[in-house]
Amino acid sequence: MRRDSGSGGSERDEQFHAFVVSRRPRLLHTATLLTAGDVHLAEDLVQAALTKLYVAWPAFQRADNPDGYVRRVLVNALIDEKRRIWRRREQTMAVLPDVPSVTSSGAGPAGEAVRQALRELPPKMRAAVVFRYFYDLDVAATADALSCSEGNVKSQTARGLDRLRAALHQAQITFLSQGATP
Amino acid sequence: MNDLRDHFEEIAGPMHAVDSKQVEADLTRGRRALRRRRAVQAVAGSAFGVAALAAAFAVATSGGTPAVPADKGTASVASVQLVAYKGEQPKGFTVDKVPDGWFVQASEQGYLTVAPDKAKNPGPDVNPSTDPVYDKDSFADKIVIMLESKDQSGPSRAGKTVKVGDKEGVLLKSLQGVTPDGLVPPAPGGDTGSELWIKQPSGVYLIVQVWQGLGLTEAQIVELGAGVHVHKDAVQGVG
Repeated sequence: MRRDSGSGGSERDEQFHAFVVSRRPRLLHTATLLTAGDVHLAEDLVQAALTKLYVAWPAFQRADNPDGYVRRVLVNALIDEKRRIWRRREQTMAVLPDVPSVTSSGAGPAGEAVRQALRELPPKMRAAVVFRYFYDLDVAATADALSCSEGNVKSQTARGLDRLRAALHQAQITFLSQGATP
Repeated sequence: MNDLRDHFEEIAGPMHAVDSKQVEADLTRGRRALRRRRAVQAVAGSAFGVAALAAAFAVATSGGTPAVPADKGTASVASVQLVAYKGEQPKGFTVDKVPDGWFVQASEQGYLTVAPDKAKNPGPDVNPSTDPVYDKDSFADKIVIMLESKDQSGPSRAGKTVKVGDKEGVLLKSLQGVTPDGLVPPAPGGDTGSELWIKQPSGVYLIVQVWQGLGLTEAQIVELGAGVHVHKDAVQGVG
């Protein structure tokens, strides 16, 4: 139990290398959405997820649903990171620490409102919305990624979408009331 | 709704090709984490993040070819007798038998350690860093009983199939230990330790890990495992 079978580093390394080459861009893409556009944090998440995958490579290889396994690792990394940030921010400090900045994509007010609303969703709710609504995963696959019930996925997705729509709607009203035309 | 999707697309940004430096960095981080994990497992035991890295041993599993003749396993003659355990029972498990002169040293919901009585009363000159049997968070020189980690799914390789009470089990010889400083010499007789995996009705495996050089025969390890009962509140570790 202390070392996986074969523990032959070279075989694991080769497989992992191929995995990273083929999947890293997609992982980073997903992580960027899961972090509401924070590319620095997304890179951290991907690194953390890939490290966990390397360590648990035999289990990953045996997984019935490798894509689901990767999604779970990514979501867990997101939640871990959220806890880490929370703990860090709870500390009393004389000077505020630097917080990773969000890369602006030049989106208009509506885009920024959606980004901001997405950022303010709890991590699991954000992940539910991203997996269900953006990646079109079904409820079961999303529940698997989030390690929760299907009912929970439905309610999280509905509440998350409501909040995003409200933010979008509010941004459009503000935009129009300022005399601009869409 | 399509507006939202468009905004998501914009937030996600374009997909960039991966560069070779990133891949190498990912590989390096993974290797480093694996080494760290093995070192922690070696001392603290695996799945529970108990990190007393002082005397790092890593006993590993191998391809199922015992280094010593089967059933002479860890000792050609039984140097340890199993007796009924009369002390306080651990939290997540119940044990019927322990080696004579041994006690349950650490009792957690995820694992328990059984250590020789000498660990009860360390003398003033004992240093748990160099003699980990005194360190209750260390698995070295002890018998450890635990559920497999959530990241595991049964033995990672073939071993000897054994009947453990009314359950199926797999007995594995551990590979020679590895630390960041190199290989750990096996115990006299070439013993590198043993692991008995016992499949529970839930599908999760119970593991009885016997450190190298403890002197239990394979039959005794099986007998010990047959006397372990897993309770509902026993928990699996992670990692």
